[in-house]
Amino acid sequence: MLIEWLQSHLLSLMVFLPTAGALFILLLPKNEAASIKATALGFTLFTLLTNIWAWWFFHGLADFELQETLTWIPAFNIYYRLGVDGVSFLLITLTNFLMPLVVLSSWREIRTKLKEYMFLMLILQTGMVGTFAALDLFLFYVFWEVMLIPMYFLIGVWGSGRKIMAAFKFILYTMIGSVLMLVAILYGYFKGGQSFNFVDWLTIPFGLKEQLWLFLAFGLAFAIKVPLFPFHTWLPDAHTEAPTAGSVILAGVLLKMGTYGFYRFAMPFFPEAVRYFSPYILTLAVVGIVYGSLVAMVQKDVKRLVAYSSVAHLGFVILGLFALNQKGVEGAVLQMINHGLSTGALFLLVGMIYERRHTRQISAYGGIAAKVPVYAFFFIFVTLSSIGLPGLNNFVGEFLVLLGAFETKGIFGIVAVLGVVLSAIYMLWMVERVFFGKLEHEENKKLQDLGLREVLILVPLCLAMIGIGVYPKPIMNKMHSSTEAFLKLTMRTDAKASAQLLTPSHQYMKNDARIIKN
Amino acid sequence: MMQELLKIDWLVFLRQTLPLLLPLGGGGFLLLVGPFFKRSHRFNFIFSIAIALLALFFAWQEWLGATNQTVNLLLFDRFTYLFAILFLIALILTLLLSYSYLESFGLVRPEYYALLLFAVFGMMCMVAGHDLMVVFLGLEVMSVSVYVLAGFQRSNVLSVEAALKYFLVGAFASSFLLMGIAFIYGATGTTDLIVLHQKGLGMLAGETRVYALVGLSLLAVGLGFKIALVPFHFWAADVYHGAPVIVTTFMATAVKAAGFGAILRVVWALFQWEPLLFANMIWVASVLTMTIGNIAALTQKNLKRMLAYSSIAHAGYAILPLVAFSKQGASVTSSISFYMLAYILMTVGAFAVLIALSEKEEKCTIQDLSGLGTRKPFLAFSMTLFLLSLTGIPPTLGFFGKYYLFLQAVQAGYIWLAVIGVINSVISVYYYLGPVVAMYFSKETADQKVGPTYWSPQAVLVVIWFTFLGVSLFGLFPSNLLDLIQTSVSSWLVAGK
Repeated sequence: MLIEWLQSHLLSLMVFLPTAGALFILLLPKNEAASIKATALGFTLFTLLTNIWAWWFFHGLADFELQETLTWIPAFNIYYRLGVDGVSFLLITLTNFLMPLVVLSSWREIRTKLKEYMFLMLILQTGMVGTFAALDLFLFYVFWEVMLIPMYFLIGVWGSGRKIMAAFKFILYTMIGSVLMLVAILYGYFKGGQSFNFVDWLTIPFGLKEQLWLFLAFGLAFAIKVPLFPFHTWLPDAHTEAPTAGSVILAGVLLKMGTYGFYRFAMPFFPEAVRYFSPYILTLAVVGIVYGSLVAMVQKDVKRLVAYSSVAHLGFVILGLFALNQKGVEGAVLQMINHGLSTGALFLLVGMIYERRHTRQISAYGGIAAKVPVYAFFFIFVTLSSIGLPGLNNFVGEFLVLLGAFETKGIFGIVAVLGVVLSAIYMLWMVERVFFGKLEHEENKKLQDLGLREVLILVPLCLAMIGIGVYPKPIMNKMHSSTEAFLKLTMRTDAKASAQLLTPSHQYMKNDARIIKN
Repeated sequence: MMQELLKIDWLVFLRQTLPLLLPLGGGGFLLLVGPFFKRSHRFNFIFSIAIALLALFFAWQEWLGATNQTVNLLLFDRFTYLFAILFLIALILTLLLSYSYLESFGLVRPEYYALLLFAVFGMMCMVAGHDLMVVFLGLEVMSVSVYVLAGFQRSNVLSVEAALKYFLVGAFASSFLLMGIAFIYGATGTTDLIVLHQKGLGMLAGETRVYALVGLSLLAVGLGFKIALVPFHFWAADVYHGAPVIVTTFMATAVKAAGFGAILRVVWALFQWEPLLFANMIWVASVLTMTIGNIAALTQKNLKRMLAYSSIAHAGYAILPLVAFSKQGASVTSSISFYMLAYILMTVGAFAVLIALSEKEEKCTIQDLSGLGTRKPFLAFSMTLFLLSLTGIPPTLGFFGKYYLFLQAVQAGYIWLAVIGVINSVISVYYYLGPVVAMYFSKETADQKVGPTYWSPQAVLVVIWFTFLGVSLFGLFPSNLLDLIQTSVSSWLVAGK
């Protein structure tokens, strides 16, 4: 009985287990640091276990699976409606995979207000998983905003340097985008017969002009989050000043909210607007790739460098999505996950050395490979993954994206290739300056190498990188039919066509019945 | 006339008016008997709380059995009782906040409680009256009580200044209101809101139309003063700032809600005279009010002042849906009523935190809050929730209220107006998060760590808990509340037709 009930509520479990953990932590006394940490880790691991459990029930059909529907606010047709397709399921998995690692990484870094910190972390997880799982636009918006506040606090309270400014910048940028999206959601709500249901929205016959405006409103919210050049200016500050865990989550998951938003909402809802805007967005994407890489190259701060590299990497994702072919989109989705792993790992590594030396300046290091060989090994490994060495994860993703781009929009592909080259330059140059050369600074001579806990954090990430790099098929299988469905929806020429797409093979469930497939 | 009076079932009438009579009688009783119990602050307090609770109980009973009856000049529909409940909730919360505050500031006098009760009686008349004269009388009863309350701390220059300013401006506004009513009477021959609504445009012909419109404008000015719409907002900051913070709480919540209740009644009766002009007036006022309120709040260091400006901004949000009144009156009215409730809860909550910090002297600057996150985690946490709710971030009640308001504008096609509204919300993020920064982000200096020992009287904590739960739980599950309000409104606007 219980097992069956749990099986039919797997998504809710993943969304609300962290909340339960957060509430549990609230009950713990403030100075019980050990039990607070253990609780947080326990709940994130538990969520991960649930996720693994859900992996067996998720088949990677074109449909939404693991659906759950409950009435929430009937007066406005607002439902608690969850469901995942291949892409959102993978992103949820990424989130749940990163969370325990991130909690582990905060083990020693966070010394003040640990209770509040773990509380916010867990609430943040609820927000993130919820955002990926929500199929009701109102619910989506609520989760989208719920995510904002914990991150704001993480940056503001536990950040470094100009953290208050960074936190403000983060919240103001995100809010501006999202409130306009709210208005767009309300507009579509009335246009589409007062429904927030994702599936109903696919069949709303928006006119061209409406599509353009609505796409802009949705797109701005997502573009800021991605961040697409020129909306990226919040990112370097937020990423740099945030505590390690915050940076990992920001880069690993929160940025994906933007690309996921394009994938799930903005593009399938407004196909004509996509056709209209895609040259501009592609241009911005490749500008972002090149610009991000160039700016990363001249950074003096390792963390800032990684932050700017995110701008470039996310440019690839957008490039793949808007290439509008199977390869491009699948590459883009894979890149979302890869970026979460690689950049997440980079931020973790930077955090580890920062904990020891309290500086992130490249010039403060040099030649430390001899002193910290394990650390150097992991760092170089992740760097190689990040720049797309064949056999590691990023190679597969970038390769697919570039293939997709060349197939339809050759010129953008060419510029993007430049980005690949540049990324090798700035990353390897940084590695060279940090790890090799002469050990000059006195402080670096006493550097301690990684401990067991830190290795334990990094090993799963590296294994995942190798796994995806060598054998990406299990992941591709999960998302294949979803991306197909996405393309059909995005390439459709009129709203009537979308009704057709919603028949047999791509039957997004419209009814509110919950299904348990086994 | 006599015939009519004889027809009334007086027992029923008594029951229907109990929620109004109780505060009136209670206030009178306190004034008469209070002097003999001068020492017994506790008696006065418990007595007023009991009166308020009793009135709340009867108001709820009457809400359940409301029949849309009009008796003499009063209208007893669910809307009346809904607002009565709102006022009583605000009253009870204010009373709970007041007890310890009055004691520690040496303001213990029975008149305080009597004035609060009278003010609530006036508010109820404003909403219950279906004649403009009753609305006006109610408004005066309320205003006069609040003028005195604003100056209740006689030893404080600011408080006296606030009272004087409020009185002068308020009297001025009242005269506008009265003049407006006179013009309307001159043009139509009646001040009965129901008659005005039913006859609508039919009553206006030729030159009387001009008088009617002049009357309407004067009325709008008068009511605009009361809820501090731009450009009639100049008094608000000083008055809110100068008055004792418990009175500010009452003014920002109950008085404002009463203003909106009366406005809804009046709008319902009069909007059809000139719907387009009316809508234009509303959107201009709304845009100005929220923008100027928000921008002025940006630079405030004193939270009382900041909340004063933010309350101006909120009035701007709240009148925004009125542009759509002619299209979807019922849902506009529900959205505004809903927002009033949300606004009462979150504002009382925010002020309650300030009161919890104010012993002997008011601690209302942002500086006073610094490091609160470590010293008083619960107070800081709830303050954060209230501020987020005021900003309109989900999943709080404030978000849902705002969503409901903007929904009306979008539905009526005023998308740009909704856009201005949400952009204003983003502006407000800046100043609402200022205290949050102080509470959590700032490094505590050595002396702050020791800091003053904050007292937190039980009654104030009760208020904080109550509003905290209200804002968070109703924010997550607004459905029942929504039903309650929609039922109240539809019994007036839909069924009442």
